[in-house]
Amino acid sequence: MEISIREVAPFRIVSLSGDVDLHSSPQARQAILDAIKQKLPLLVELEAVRYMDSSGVASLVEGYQAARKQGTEFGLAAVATPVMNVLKLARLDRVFPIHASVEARLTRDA
Amino acid sequence: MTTLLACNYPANTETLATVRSAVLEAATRAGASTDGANDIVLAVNEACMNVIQHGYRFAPDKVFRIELSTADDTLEILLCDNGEAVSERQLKPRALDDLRPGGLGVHFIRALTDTMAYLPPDETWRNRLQMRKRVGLLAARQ
Repeated sequence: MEISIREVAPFRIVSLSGDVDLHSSPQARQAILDAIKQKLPLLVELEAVRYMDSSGVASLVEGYQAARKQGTEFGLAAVATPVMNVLKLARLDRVFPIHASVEARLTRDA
Repeated sequence: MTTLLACNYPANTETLATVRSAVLEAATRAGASTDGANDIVLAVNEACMNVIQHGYRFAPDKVFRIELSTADDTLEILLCDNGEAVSERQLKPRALDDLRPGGLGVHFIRALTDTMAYLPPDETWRNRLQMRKRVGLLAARQ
């Protein structure tokens, strides 16, 4: 798994790629929670994720709950099919705000 | 019965990618579609995670075994380990409305397989989790 972080004001964008599994999800979780601590609206970009297991899903849930607790925006963007499949299996596709792409969210309020 | 995979693996998180690759190949050979094979990979991965996390509690130098076979249009997966004994209670999935991190693994396994059950221990393995899925369903999955 690889993680890249960028900022496109006012958002912080955490991009994950590769396999987000029990081996790599602790790093994904930490990157998401670190970004939330900055109190910036956060988008997690998942376009290049090939595989996600329940530990990866748990990292997203934890981020979503932490962001809600402090009143900042949390959303998923460009969700790859393997990730969408597990989100649907957990019925979380109805819980997370999901955007077609980072750009789609950025231009929504323009 | 046709055996498609029978292998011991070190019980650590680095192993999971290797397990997924082997299970994907075996499920495909069994006749599963791409989506069907991916369902089996996810179910087996979750079961292996449970062994590593809860059975062995990330202890080093532990081993689990995976066997995949087909017989009478059924794909059978057997996951064996010597971690802490698992009770039937731990096989119950949590309610999905209860939004919290974790606890989804059993739900995934149950949703993606036809049956899951623990077989009695044998002389080698304390826990023997059997998961079954009809091959016809895996082949038609898209």
